[in-house]
Amino acid sequence: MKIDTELIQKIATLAHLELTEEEVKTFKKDFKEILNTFSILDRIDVKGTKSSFRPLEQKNILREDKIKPSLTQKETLSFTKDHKDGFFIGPKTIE
Amino acid sequence: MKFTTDIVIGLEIHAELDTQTKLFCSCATKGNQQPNTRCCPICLGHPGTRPVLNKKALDYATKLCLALGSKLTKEIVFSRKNYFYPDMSKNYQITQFEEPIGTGGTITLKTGRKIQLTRIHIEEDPAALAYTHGMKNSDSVLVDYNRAGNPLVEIVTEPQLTSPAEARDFLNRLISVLGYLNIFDITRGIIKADANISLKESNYSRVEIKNISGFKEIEKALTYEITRQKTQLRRGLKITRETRGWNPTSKTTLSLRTKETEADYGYILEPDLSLITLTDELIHLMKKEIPELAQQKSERYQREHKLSKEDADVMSMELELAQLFEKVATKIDPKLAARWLRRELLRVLNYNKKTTKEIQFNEKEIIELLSLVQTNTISETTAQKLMEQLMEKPFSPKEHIKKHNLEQVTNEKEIETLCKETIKEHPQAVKDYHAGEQKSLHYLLGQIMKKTRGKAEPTKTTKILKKELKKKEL
Ligand SMILES: [Zn+2]
Repeated sequence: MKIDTELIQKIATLAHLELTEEEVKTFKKDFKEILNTFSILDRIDVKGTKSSFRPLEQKNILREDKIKPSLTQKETLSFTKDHKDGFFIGPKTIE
Repeated sequence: MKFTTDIVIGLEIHAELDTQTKLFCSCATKGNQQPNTRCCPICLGHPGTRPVLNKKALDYATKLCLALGSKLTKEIVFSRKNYFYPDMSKNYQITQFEEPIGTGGTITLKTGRKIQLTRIHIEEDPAALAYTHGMKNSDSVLVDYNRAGNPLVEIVTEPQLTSPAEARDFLNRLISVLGYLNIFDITRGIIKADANISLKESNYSRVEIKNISGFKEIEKALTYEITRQKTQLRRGLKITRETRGWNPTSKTTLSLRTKETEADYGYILEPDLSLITLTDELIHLMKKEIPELAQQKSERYQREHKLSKEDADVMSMELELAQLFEKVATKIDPKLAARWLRRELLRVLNYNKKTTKEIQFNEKEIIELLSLVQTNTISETTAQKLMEQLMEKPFSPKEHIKKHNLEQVTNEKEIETLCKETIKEHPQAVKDYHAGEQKSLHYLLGQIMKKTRGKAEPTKTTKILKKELKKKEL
């Protein structure tokens, strides 16, 4: 995979991050190193091995449609300092 | 894909499944309207929490796929759709991507044309966002996670619809199926849609419209967008492939300029949910729960009761109306029943802005009323008035007409006397009639109806009035 400024900028945009030129340079170096480290995995022969997406192979765990008590509004909002009139305050969505 | 029609429309419809609890946690889907009162660590996306799929939501989605002829997948798999937006606390939405619960399927339109479905999948609803100073001028958004995590089904069509009216018909038919299956609450649940539209004149350059909320808005948004594109083209401007948003206040679409494509969502399989197998047992059970649907009912009404296709379609579209019709048709001539339910009951409902769910009287009152019409005991005018009154408060039509002396005048002697009287009282109209003025006949009939408060039987009265007028001519 080619790690260039364009790719770093694209990932930053998707993550809503603004990077300085200095930071882009650092990330370019870090990205390359991380990908290099993990490329070791490419050398393992996985022919005939079934892919696994879950840490535990549990099957068919479902829930009955029964209401259980939710948190109170006070409890829910206690996890943030950014709230107003019972709402969470979130970042602006349009520039 | 090769298109031939002037307009090509594809829809992605989101409908909320009418379960008690959310898709992955046990918070209530309805109830307390105060913001952030139906939330828990799971739907708030706290680290370390674990979602578990609601069995009812799976049952409902399975039923929908079976009813629409969508091929069911063997294993239910969910994915994370990653994006950073305040409407999802986890920074991803749990949805189905690689393998939807249903693939393919069809919905047949009024015209008999079949619209192919691409897929049906299950996903969680995002939170509701509110803006204190409008979307553009607010520094921040207010977020209410009550709705976040509610179960949705998304139904995606192939681009095969050819007009906004056809899209409306498609939605009507989809809502009809959702209603018959009893998996969607039309009085509470909102239908949301994304649409893609392209015109032949622009060589089918595809424009997407996001976030259209509400059944009526969808047709409006489509109509607006088609007009916008046609105007652009007439001015010699190009239609660019883009994503636009529907603004319900200004009734226009606006360019959203998003650069996100499917690949940017970085889908990964959701590792926190267990693998779920759709067993033959469950499929069999759900199949058994599917009732006779609108289309089959319509065909049966045409075959068994000899209703016209139009009447049969209207009678069968909504479960409540179909049930009422079937009960009434056991006692009343089905054609008469269909005509009255369609013209009069629906007219009165529309006038009162009510749905068939809100009718307070039952088949007993309707059967009584229509048997009075069938036996010619009351005139159509009287019956129409009674239908209006029934909507306000149920009563027995039989007792009501006795009490208020509303029986139709059918006695020929009595009608003859009425005609003679009227002819005497309106010499000018009689003269005009003899001079060839047809309007005068209606005027005289109107006078008789006024005298009898609409109770004179119209066919007999017309016949006798003409006879009496002829006598005067000699
Ligand atoms: Zn919850």
